[in-house]
Amino acid sequence: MRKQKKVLTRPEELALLAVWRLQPDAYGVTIRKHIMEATQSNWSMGAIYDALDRLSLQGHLTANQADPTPERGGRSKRYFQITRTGYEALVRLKSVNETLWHDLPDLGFRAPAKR
Amino acid sequence: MRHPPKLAQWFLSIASRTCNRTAVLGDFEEFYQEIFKEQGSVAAKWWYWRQALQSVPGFLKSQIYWKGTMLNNYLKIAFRNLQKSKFYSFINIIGLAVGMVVFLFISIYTRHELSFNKFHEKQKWIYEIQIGEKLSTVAPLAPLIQAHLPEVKTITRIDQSYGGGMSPVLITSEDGRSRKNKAKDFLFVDYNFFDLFSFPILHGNSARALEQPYSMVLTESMARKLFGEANAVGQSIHYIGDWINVPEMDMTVTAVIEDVPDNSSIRFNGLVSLATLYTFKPNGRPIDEDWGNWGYKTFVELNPENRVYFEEKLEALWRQACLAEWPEEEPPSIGLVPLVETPFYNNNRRQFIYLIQMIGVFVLIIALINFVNLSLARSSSRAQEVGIRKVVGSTRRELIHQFLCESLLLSLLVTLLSFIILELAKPVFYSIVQQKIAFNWIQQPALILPVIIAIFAISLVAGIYPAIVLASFKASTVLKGELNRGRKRNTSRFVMVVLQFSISTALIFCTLVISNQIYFLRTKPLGFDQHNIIHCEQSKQINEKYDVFKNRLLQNPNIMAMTRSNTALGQELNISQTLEINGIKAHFRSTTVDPDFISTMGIELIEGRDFSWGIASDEYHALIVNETFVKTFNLKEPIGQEVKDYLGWGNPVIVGVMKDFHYKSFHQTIEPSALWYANWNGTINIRISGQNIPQTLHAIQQVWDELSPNFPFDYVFLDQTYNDLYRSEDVLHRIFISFASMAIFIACLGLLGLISYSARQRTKEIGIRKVLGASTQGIIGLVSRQYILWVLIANAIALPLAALAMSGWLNHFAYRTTLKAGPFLWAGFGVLGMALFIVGWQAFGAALSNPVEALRHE
Repeated sequence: MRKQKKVLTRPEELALLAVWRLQPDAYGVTIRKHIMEATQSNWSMGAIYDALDRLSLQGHLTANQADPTPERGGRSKRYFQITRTGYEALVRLKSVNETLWHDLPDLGFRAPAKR
Repeated sequence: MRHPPKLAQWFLSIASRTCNRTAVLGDFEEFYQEIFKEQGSVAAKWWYWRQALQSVPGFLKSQIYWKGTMLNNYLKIAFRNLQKSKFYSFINIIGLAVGMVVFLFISIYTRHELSFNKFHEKQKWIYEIQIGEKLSTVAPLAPLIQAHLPEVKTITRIDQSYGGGMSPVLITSEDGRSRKNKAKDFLFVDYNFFDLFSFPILHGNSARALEQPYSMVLTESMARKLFGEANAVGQSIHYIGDWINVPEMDMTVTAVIEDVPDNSSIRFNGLVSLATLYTFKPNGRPIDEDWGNWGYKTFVELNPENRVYFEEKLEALWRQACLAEWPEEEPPSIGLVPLVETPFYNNNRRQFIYLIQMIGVFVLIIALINFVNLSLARSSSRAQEVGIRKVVGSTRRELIHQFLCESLLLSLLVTLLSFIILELAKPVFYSIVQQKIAFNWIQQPALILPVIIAIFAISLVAGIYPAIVLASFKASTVLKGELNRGRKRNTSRFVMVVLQFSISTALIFCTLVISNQIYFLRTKPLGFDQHNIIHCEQSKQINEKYDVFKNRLLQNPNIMAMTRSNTALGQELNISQTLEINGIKAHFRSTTVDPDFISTMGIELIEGRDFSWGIASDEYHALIVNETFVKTFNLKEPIGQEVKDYLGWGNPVIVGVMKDFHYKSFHQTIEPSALWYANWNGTINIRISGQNIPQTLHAIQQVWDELSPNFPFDYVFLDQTYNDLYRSEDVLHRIFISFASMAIFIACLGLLGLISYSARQRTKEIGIRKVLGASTQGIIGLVSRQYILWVLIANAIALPLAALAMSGWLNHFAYRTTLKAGPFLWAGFGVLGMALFIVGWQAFGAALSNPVEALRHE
């Protein structure tokens, strides 16, 4: 049970958020695209799968197979849905983030001055 | 629709987990299509390939990690199993190790035996010339070939009669004091000896070492013996040959070479230049004109492609030369024998090696069968484990891996053990084959590597069958406790036990037949009394004072008689001629002796008279022939028959007929042969009484030393000489006895394991039967009946085959025992008895056990 209390890693957090946002169309391809857009950097498939697999293992996500489509070489998609615990983890994450951000001095949305 | 590269897809698919493989591949393909649309096929492919290859390292890492984890588990289980059934593990490991040791040693031995002469760099180009199927030639042949046959690159001779195998005395001076050394095995060789043969030189110049007369090349150990650590090259040696025709000479050491390797058929401690022989005329003629001395070996260097062509030309040249030299004789055949074949030429050495190799393989097979059999027998106790593993998700392949892993573990133990046993048992093996074979594992990685590979391969072969059988158990039936112990597995066990015992029976049978034949060889009368005779080569001084020597010795009451002959008995008579009498043309052999020969040796005369010292005309002119001679030439009245002059002293007359006697080994038939009387013989034969042998020998020694101070008295007992003729048979016998008994030991070990196992498995059945009133005998019969039947079948298969093989072996002897009933019965009943004993012992235990114990079991 310790696993559920564990704070999610960054890729896990991103993946979980992506699934939450993309539902019901959350599968490997869309999730990766979404994360890449959000972070503006290249993510390998492996990193995404890794996060998704770990989330599934922790019970934050469930997966189910959809029917095969031709553009995938006749292979089925694996859709992810967020579970109750996944949802709770997101809520907890949000509160953690908010607590952390809450009384920070104003960043001013400026880049630090160059010395 | 375009698809990603197949190979890259495959990489990805094996790298991804089985459960979501299709989804992952689908995702990748979708991206691929997208990039394909936006950036074209090259970029898409490039991207896909990069993804695929990036997956490899991680994949390998996880593979190794998980395989390692499983291996760890396999090893743990394997060790637990070994510990759980110590008895079976012990039988398994010891049996296989002993089998492997035998096999290893036999491989080492036969490898050594087959490696003869292969160390010469030019081994493939060197041929020895045979004449009349004998590896001896005359000296003039070499100059003749050199002059007429340009195909030959190099031709070289080895003299065997003036130097070969001879034992000169070498006198070296040390600080002004001379030191006498008795040396052995000195050869006289042509100047180009080292052009042909690769004996590595240590000091001196090999190209010129044997050019000059009176030059000598020593082996390293000989040089050390003569000169210690000092450099031998340039030292001088006073040489006193033991052959009466060779004068005393002063020699100079020109080179020192490495010791002759064990697997060389040319053996020597020193070489003397043949040029030395040119300086004197050993037989009254220069050696290159001496057609009467057949003591030379001739070797040629020849391109193997030219062999057939060369042999034809050689044959023609030889015929021509022979007809010029001996106009009235049919020239003997001539031909080439490759140097590496010479140790096997005209003998049954190869059969001998094959027989030994066969034993090695058989012993190994028996050990392997044991291993397989016992693993299979134990397999039922592993069935539950297999069932559980299968239920938990182990695949068939993984199970096979597991069991192979186990047999690999066993094989590692076996390897270790067999190396230890081999090291420890080395002296035993050396005494079995009566020779030391240089093999050192550490110094010869080339030898150890194939051996280790072989051991592993063998263990895997032994392990793979049990592995497959074990892995194929059905989880459901096993766990329901309905393990199939039906006919099928019995059949394989049947085949293996029968094979094992067939081999054992065959080996026992062969051993017995060989023993019989050796006993026959040892005890068959030779036609004369070979006991209590010593023979030795006379020295020059003894030759000069032979009468004194003889008279003084005969004063000793323990010396019964003495005689001189041209050749010692136990070998071919040295003169071979063709003769025509009564229109019958045939070869016959003869040698010269003095008139005391027949009486001293105890050869029986059946007609006519012995030679007589008193009759002067007997010398050179009287002949005593053997019975075969009379029969071959169909002589009605042999006595008085004149024989055409064949030696150049006028026509001899047959004065007596003696009984056939065996002057050589029982491998060859007695040929028509004759003795004639001459007084220049080099072998002294002395008959002594059977009493006080050491004192008698000492007395002879004293007289000898007085008359011939330079030469030690070097004698051999004649019966020993005859025994030595059967050395290879002796070795074979010893190998058969020791290794066949090991094979039987292993087979019995296997049977013991098998039976005790099956008895234990039937504990419950036996218990119930006993409760219901079965008798002890009944139960013994129940447990053992099957195995006894199997052994009987094995006998029925093995004996005819073994008899066939052995009659083949016996056919190499001109005089042999017949296959009697004895060996058949002994081998058959011996194996049966042993099997009965083991089966009975185990069955008895099972039958006597308290049924309460048995039924409380589990």
